[in-house]
Amino acid sequence: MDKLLSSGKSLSGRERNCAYLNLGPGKAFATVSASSGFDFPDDARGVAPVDWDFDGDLDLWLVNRSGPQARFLRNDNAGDHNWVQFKLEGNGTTTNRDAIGARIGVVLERNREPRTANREPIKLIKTLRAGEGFLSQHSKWVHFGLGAAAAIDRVTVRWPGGDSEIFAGVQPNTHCRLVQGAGTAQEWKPPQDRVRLAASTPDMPDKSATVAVFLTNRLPLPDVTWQTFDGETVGLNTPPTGLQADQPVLINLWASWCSPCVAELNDFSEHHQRLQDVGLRVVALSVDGLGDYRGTPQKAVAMANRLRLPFDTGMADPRMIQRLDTLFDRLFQIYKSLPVPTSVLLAGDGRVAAIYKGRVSIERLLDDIQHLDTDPPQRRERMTPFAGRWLTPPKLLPLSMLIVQSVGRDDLGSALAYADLAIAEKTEMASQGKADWDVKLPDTLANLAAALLPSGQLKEAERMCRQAIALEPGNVDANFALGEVLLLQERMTHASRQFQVMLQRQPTHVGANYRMGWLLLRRGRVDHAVNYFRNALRADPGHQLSLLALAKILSTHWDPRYRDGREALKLAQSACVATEFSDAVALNTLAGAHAEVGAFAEAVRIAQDALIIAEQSEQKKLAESIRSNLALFQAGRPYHPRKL
Amino acid sequence: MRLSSIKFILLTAMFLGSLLADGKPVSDDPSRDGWKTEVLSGEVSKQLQRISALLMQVHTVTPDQFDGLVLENFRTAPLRPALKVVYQDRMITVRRRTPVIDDEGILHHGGAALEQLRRPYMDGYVPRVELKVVGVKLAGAVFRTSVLVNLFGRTPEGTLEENGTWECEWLLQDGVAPLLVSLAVTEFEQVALASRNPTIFADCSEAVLGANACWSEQFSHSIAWWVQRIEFMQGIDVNGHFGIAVGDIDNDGLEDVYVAQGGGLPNRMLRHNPDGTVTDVSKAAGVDWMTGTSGVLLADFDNDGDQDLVAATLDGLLFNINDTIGGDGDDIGKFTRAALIETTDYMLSLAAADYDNDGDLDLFACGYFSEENRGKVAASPVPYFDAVNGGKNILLRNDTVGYRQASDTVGNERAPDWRFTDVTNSVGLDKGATRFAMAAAFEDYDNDGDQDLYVANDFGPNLLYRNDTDASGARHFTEVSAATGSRDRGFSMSAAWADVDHNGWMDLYVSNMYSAAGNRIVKQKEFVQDDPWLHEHMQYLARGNTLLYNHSGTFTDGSEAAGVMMGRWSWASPFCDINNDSWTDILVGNGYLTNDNSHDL
Repeated sequence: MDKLLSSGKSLSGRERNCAYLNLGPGKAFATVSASSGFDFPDDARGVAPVDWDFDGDLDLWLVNRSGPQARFLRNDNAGDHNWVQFKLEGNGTTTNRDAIGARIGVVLERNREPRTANREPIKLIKTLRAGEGFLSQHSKWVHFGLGAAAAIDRVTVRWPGGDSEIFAGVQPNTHCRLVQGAGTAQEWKPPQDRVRLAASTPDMPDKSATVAVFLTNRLPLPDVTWQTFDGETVGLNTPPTGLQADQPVLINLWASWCSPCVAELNDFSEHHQRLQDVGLRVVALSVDGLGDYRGTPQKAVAMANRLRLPFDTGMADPRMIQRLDTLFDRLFQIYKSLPVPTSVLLAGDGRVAAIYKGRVSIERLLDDIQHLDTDPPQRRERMTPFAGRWLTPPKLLPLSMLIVQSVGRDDLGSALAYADLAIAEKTEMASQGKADWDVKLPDTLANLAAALLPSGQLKEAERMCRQAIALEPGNVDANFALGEVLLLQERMTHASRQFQVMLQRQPTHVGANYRMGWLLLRRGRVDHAVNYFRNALRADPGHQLSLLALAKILSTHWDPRYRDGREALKLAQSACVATEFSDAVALNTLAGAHAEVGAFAEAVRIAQDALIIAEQSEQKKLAESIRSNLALFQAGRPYHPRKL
Repeated sequence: MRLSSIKFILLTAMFLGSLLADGKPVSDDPSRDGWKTEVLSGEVSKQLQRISALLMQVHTVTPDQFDGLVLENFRTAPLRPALKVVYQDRMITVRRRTPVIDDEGILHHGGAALEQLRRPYMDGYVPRVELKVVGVKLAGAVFRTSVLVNLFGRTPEGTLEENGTWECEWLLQDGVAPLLVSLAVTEFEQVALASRNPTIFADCSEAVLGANACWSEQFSHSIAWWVQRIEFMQGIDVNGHFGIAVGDIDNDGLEDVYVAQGGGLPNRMLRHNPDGTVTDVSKAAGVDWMTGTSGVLLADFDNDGDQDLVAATLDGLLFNINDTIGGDGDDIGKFTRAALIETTDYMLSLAAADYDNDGDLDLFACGYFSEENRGKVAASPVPYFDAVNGGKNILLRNDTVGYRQASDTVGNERAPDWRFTDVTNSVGLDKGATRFAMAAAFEDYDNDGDQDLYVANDFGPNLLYRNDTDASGARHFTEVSAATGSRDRGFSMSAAWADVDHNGWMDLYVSNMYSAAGNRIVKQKEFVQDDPWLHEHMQYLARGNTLLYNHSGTFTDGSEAAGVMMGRWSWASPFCDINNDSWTDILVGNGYLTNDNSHDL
């Protein structure tokens, strides 16, 4: 659902509001959505009825998610129905001053319409509320439509706090104040100097195509490099003469086929001296042909030659594009893609201080550069076009979010770059006494370590684990991941020690128990191995690896003291059910268990299934091993390999 | 719940979610027919668009325009059947079809049938037409569709709005679009407005708001526009849940309006000018809060005679004292920040009432989702239909002491001790408090003199809390939704109270989600047949809004008979007597996310 909402796609959009007219008892309501004029295709949220113009009918204030976010609808009811409205005032001691909760009853005179079936006088009731429905508060004037009724017998008020009161002499088509204890209603005259408000269709602004945001949150953009058109790889650490490495940089993305880009490049060119005077380095990189962008590098070269730009140019690095993508996605709730042109302004510390989608004017750029040296509260003020009161300091994004984002996109290089920055930042914050900054970082680093394993980046994985443990020594995921890494590095003693230390703190950790079993089995310490596997299964009876490992021992160990065919069968069955009998390893183990209890026909059948699956998924070694098992089973012999 | 059931729910939620996006209906039995019916529905929709175009075209409909649209010998009874008046006042006349009789009279061919429909409209054509497939059934080479028909336009007397249902049969042939074989009008209602004004309500937004910069600079842009320009971390919310409160802040007798906004956009206080326009006085009033705000209320919490302001913000419940009473002349309509009660959860709607009848206003705040989900765009309710892992609702008892009296002339110093005590648990409102509450409304539903509370929950049933005094004299709320028949199980966004049928008991209208397609699927027996609990609950996912009639404290569902279920994705849905005839009407605000389609950014 998050993805759907942030993609910028509509969901139940452009739905018209509805209105239903009550036709009285025994009849269905009539649909008056269009006739009422209420049926805007807005994303409506709150509705607050109020007799705004004091003409006796209820007008409406609406608030929407779509533009316009506020609407005022005047009720132009031209019917000839009567009405009455009341403003209540509690005594402020036993009854709250606003009289919220008061139950007002309007008893219409006998023999007047509308009437009940048995000719009793109609009593219309309403309750005064403060807040009702979704995010809405209505007017405190309690409004009664009276239909054709021309006379009111009496008005009753049950004041919240207990006592009831009757008000006589209330005239239809008046606004009345009902003061607790007064006994009579006081008519209230609305102001007379109203202007006749004109109805219109609000003029919605065109969807302006540029975005310029001075960011509160300055996120890093690590390792910015690009290829010059001469084929050289250049980075930000080699500034041109006259500029220093710690001065602001504008990274601009353009394409040869994009005319606003070209116009903007010429603009930068023309005003380059002004930009240099404030120490700005401009780096204009083409995206021609990268990813989904149209064009070709050749066209980019041609354009660059034509424009003869006085600043750095070249081809953008796809990795940098991906990192910008990550940043934008984290900064804004709706993000679709990077348009061209797009520019980002890096502050002297290399962090992204401002973003510009579409062209950015020189004036805006210079203004933003002038304000680079500001703190987060000042930046937040500049971020929004409006001034106002904030309650708390700005919320800043912990860098672990960027790691998570990158891992999610399978961009492990970026994840590592952000990781180092995140670790440094968290350490810095801790030294400032802010121990609760980025609490998720150790978990995130552990996840990153795990993500690095499939590609064999063991050194980096180990580093991430150790960093996580340094930040939070008791972090379970990081400690376990470290054990796994050590295992993969074949540092068995270290791995073993790591898991044992873990188990001292978390004796029921499934993974650690399993691994200890695995390690001990390798060393031939079968008893101990079995204990660990059983521990794992106690904590998680469905743990696949433990099920299979234990089943294997119980069905195939050369020493009969360790064998128990029946239990092996049970365990292997569980493992197969969980994988829906489609995992070759599990099936192979199950076959072995059947063989151990003497059910060779069954063993053969299952082994054959396992073989097919292993061959189909091209697990050659496994297939080979299954084949040799199969031969044994067909010969009526279980599989008990000799001790190695 | 079994894993497979959970998977099913998630799949169905995604499935229904995608349906809500484009409203395409699906087969009676999607698991058997697969998506074939959806493809056919698409083809039928295209044909219906041709019919819409014919209704909307300026020149007369000609026979050749039906080529490839209807079967050659297609005939139908009048598309506007015989009608009788069911309601009439000076402005509004409502007509409905007379009971169906076997012999409807002459059968028309396509052109004549459409012309009959077009004739009453000004200039002979219908300017606004919507034909929408809401039900399908495939039977061999015949495809049946239920079509919702909406027409609207001007007439010489005023306007005409017509809503109805067509049952259509289409012939399927390879390589050609479905051909209309037969059409029966099963429902038809006509509302004629006799008025100089085109509609009952007129949009005067520009006239009222236009002189303020915030109108063009802030309000005119959608939240979809703003979330691309304001950092998410500063509290803007793509859902756009920002509320409105009406109240007189300067005691001039004219009620003003406070509009909440997301983080990075200031909340706006709009002062009601004597001429009917508004002026933005947010800054001067001291309430231009930039923190993301959802529910807002204007009410007199310290009983001193002016309207105080409470706002549910991302930083907590913010109370602002109004300085009009007790301050000096310069303080009229100005507020001072009084208290900030931190909430760990994301709160939505607010409702104030004197729950303990001790003479001051207490505050109920709906907790939507909990802190650990804050920052995510959508909540993660588990289990989906009965989620109790949402934010916690809060009842704050008003313990403010030292009321300011009108005669008090202490300068700007605020003497009252603004204290609110969280009594949620002690009064029994903790039961069900961690559902995903969206809205709440107090009402004395059992007519016993105290304020009961109805809470509308998303992802789970709604709850009705009956307020009683127990043996020791203490206030206690008992959850009675099941016992009273008010436990609406739809995913609710709003609840409203009014005496709809004038029987002296307050009735309830609850806004939910409606999905025509969803309705079709979930009503099939085959659907989740192996899990009756699931089957029953899924029906409520897409059912629409609910009208519950109250008699002596027990509720019965009268939604279908009243014809008020259709909303779609409904939000605030108040009762409102729009034509002053004493019979209260219903307004339904709809629409979830309309996002810009332009690809500019």
